[in-house]
Amino acid sequence: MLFNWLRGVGRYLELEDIWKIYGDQVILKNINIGVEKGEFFVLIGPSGSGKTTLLKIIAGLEEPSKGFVKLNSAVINDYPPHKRNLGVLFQRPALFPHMNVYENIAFGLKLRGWSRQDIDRRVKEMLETVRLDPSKYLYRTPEKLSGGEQQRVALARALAPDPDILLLDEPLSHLDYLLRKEMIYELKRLHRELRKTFFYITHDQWEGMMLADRIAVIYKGSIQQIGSPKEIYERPANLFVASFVGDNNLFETRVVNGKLYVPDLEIFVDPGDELDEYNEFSNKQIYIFIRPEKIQIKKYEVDGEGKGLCGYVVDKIYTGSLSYLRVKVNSAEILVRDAEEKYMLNEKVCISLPENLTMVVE
Amino acid sequence: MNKLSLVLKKIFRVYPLQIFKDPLYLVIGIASIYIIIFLYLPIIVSITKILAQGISVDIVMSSLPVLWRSFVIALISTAISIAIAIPISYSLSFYLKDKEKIIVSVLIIAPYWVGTLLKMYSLAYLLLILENITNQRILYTETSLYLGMIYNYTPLAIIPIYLAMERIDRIYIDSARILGAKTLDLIFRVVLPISYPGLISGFVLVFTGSLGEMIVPQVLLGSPRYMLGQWIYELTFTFRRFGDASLLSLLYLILTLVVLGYVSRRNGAREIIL
Repeated sequence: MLFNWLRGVGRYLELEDIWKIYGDQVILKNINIGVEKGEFFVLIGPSGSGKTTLLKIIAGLEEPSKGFVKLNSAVINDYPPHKRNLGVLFQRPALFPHMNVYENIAFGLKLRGWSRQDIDRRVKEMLETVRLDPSKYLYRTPEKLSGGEQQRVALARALAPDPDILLLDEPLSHLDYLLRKEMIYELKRLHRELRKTFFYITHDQWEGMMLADRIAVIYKGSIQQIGSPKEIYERPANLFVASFVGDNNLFETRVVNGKLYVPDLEIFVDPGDELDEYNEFSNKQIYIFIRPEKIQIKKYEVDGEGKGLCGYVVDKIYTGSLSYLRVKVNSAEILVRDAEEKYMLNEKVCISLPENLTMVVE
Repeated sequence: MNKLSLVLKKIFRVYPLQIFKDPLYLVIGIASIYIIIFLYLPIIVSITKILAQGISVDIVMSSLPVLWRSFVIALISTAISIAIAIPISYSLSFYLKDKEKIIVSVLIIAPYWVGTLLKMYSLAYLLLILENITNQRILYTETSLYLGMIYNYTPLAIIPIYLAMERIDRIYIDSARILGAKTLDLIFRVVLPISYPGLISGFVLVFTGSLGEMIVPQVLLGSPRYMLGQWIYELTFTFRRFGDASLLSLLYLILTLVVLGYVSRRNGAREIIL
């Protein structure tokens, strides 16, 4: 531990080889995560992947079956929750129903033995931090607040005792779309202003991408990849990450005569250097995937080069800021970003794939 | 009354066989017959008894000390019962697994299936043994009375408090613990305030029961006129003064209703009855 500290290796929050096993069910296996101080760290994964269990282990509400939780290079496995100085924002606001807004925010402060004046000042300060007017909200009871307001008060309550790390367990999943968007910017602003370490859990990849400095993708209890949003998006480590984060066109391939054949598109693609390790006889499956925005699309011309992949537009997807087309080429349907919005349904179009294909070997 | 007549109309207007087809009518019918025969008829009878004899101020005045004593004993033993019930319900609700909860709650309710008289004689026997060991008078003192009351009524306090604690969303507990609450903070600042309706209904159940208790003081205290229930019993079966006994029972009923009304007005009746 001292050695790590001297080498400067230790991160602020470290999870070392965390396992959680209930009976014969493995919830978490071999989790290794290091979170820097002041970082906005996002853990994304589908529901049932063990995210919340991991958060509870960090918070001290559950014990890991194996492994260490370290804060500032000190092992805090045996610390009860109240000694860890963390803040948590759960999925639901969970404001204490028998207390008003003031008492809710003051709860953690009273337990820490703050003086009355300090508590008053801090509560008002926190309400202002989460953009609620203290003169209006101070003495309201939780049931008289809207969902968004409740979640803001819960945020103020979690932040009031000045925690070292704020853990957020899908705090926006119960809010409607507009509020969610607003709260995402709000959380980003808070992170910038407070300079605290945020550990955020979500199943929503866009939420994660928007918020994160770094992302860890978790699936079936094990970490699939850790990296910046850009890394995760552009260089996914495996098939799951490739399909879970962002829209993707995924194709199985076969190695034929040293070249990579895509049966669905009936084309050969340039494998790059990666293929050297694998040949026809390898039992590994190689996938290529192509992000919709990387695909060029143009009108079909009879006298054109004739080499491209041509097919019909089978579906148009309009989301407002972006629109997409589904193009049927041979036996595959490919999702393509439609920047010009000039193609019609059933129109014949040609697409060209990007030169650098991303490959995943499973 | 209006509702009742409406229900009766509904029952009698339908074809008799309909009653067996729709169990709702059967249930309403049985329930209203039960309420009328076992709840209102005795009260009506006792009121007619009082009216036949005329209200005597003497018996009320001379019973006031007994009434006051019963009130104080009931209040103190209820408070102690609830004080015991809180940690038991808390540990039952928060530390046991679901399967264990079922076993333990059955064990807690089980003494309630045994008759009070039998339980009290067993307790008296135990206290006698204890007397022999400690060389101190325990049986036939107020101590033994309180022991008996608490022994008899604590399960009744545990049940509503435990149920109220079971209903608490565990997310509040997790939030409070992370915000810095130790076990005692958790109990006094979060668990008890949220399960307050359970506490109140526990209080009402135990208090009304112990106020009219007759068997416990009879067996464990010996003194025949110590509490209200005993006194009413004496008036009825020893002195055969039915009118006076009825007057006192009515007084007891009113006292109970006053306490109930006070408690439920302060805390919202709906939550307490549930």
